[in-house]
Amino acid sequence: MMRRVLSLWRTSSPLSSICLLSAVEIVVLSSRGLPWRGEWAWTMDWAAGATVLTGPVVAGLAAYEAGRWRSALVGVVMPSARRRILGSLSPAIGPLLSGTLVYLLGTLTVLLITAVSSPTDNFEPQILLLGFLKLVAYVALGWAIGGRLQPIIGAVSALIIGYGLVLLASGDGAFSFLRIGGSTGPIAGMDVNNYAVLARSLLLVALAIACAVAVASQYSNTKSLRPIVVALAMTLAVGGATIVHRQGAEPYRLASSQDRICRGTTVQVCMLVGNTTQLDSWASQIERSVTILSSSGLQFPSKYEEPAPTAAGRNPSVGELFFDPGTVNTAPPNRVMIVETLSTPATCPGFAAEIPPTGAMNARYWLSHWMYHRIWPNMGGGEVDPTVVAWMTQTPTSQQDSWVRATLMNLKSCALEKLAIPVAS
Amino acid sequence: MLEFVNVHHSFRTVEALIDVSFKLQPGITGLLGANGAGKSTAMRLAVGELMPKHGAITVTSVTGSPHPRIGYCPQFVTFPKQLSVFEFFEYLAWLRKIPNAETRNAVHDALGWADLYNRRNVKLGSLSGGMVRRMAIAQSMIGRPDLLLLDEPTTGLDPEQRVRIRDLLRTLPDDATILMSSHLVEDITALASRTLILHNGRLVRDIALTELQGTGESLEQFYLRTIVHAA
Repeated sequence: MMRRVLSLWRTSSPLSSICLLSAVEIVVLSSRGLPWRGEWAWTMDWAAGATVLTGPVVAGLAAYEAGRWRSALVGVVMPSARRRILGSLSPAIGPLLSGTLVYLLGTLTVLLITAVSSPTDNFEPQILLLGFLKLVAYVALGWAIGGRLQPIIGAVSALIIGYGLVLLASGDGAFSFLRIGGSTGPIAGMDVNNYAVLARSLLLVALAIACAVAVASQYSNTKSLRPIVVALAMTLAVGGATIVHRQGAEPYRLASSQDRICRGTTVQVCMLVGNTTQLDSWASQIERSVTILSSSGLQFPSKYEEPAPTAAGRNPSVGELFFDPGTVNTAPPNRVMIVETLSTPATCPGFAAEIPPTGAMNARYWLSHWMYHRIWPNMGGGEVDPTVVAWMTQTPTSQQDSWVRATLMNLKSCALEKLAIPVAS
Repeated sequence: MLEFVNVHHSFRTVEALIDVSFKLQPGITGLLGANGAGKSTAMRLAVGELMPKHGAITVTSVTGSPHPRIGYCPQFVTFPKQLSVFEFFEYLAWLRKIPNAETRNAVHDALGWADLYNRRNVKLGSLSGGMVRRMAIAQSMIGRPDLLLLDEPTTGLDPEQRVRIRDLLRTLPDDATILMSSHLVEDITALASRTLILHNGRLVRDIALTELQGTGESLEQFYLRTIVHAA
């Protein structure tokens, strides 16, 4: 059996298919750098999401093969075949194997890259199943389209229809079950929604079966199985749609738990579970900075937290970590993140008001630049606003300390109306 | 054995076969007719590729097997070019549910019959026209089918190759029921013991060639007379 499958694979010029698919896969996986490498969820989503581009290509290949095999199937293979369903599968085997191989290799590569970063979120590979089933559905689609057309025309048609479906899937309509991607996993406080994964899987399998029925009706006039298979596809589709109706279609949902892990002694730094790859680095830098700045009499909150995606349950008396979601699990915090964090000792709703509190924002800006210059006095290099540097050089230290203490205090208590940049001495 | 009982088939408004009945026993039967007479439609109905609009078609095995094996050589063939001859034959044997234990011998027999054994590892795309034709017939023989349907097996061949194919067809197993269509009277004369003549979708004559012996009339003359009479 395996030998026959491999023989059939060889008829589809697998090297060319694999090269083409690999090129597309590499473009997708490496576009925008490797931001996913600090997080399992993001990595798996990225790997499965690559099928957005590789899926239509696989459909095109399947359509091309179906067109090429058509004469042989109609004339020689199918009439005397007793394994008719397997016979009609012949053109689909090559593209499916090539697509699956590239998908597996791409996925394994990104998983290995991510493993090096020691991510701390849960390893939940369900999303990878969706990527595979999407490939299967696209192969079936191409197989059905190409079986009735010339190879090149079939391939181009399947490619256009495939990418058309990608566009349709980007909306919230009936084709949204073909969409993969959009998760930032624990950064966004998301968990895998297993119901939605199941629903999408059922819908993808139903689509593949529907295409297979279309192909089978072309090559076989045995009608006994068709009602059963159509009924199976419809049952799967209805089952999937019912689950979507009840549980939602998005394969990610807000995590039920927003627990955090904390580090630090004088000041605690807390990050969401699954997002703690750089927690030690954050804790040590915050602690060092707080130690330096405390000499000016500044009173920092005892705790800084990574904000949860939902405002509910946010404690206004704790500081808020200022971080870049794209690098939070892959790179230690930079200096700007540290001073922005320290100058945000509380989560003040006033900053998100319709009319922005310009005075308070300017005061916080000055405070963060003052902190930067205090913590890293020798760095200079244009990272600190020259106006703030000028003020620091012209103003006595005691006067500076007095202003920063008052400003930090008002930020902690969210007394934004009292905030203003210092008056030049 | 193959039996057609009042078989009727049409493609939209075109009547391809009209009320055709016959019963074939082991041996070679010729199916003679002009282009468009309905020969290929009859073949495709016999192999199960088409379903008759009316009537019944029955294929039975001489061994009594509930699943008679059918071999089919279509008029025009295209093969997956990247497969070798052996791989393709093996694949066909598998699709025809020939038991694994028999597959190797079945494939070797077919290759040997068509004198393609030495080319068994050659890719199908690099075979010459004559070899492709021999292969097309040989593939239909894999697993010693109960019913062998040969649709214009000498089409497109030069005279020398046609003679070679005829010689090969003479060596087909005696216990198989073989229906060979052709519009070339000399092919039928050379191979068949019985001839069905189709004209405009109707079976106009069913004659054993022994009936013509001693009449001084050739099959060609008989065929032309029959067609003129039917018209």
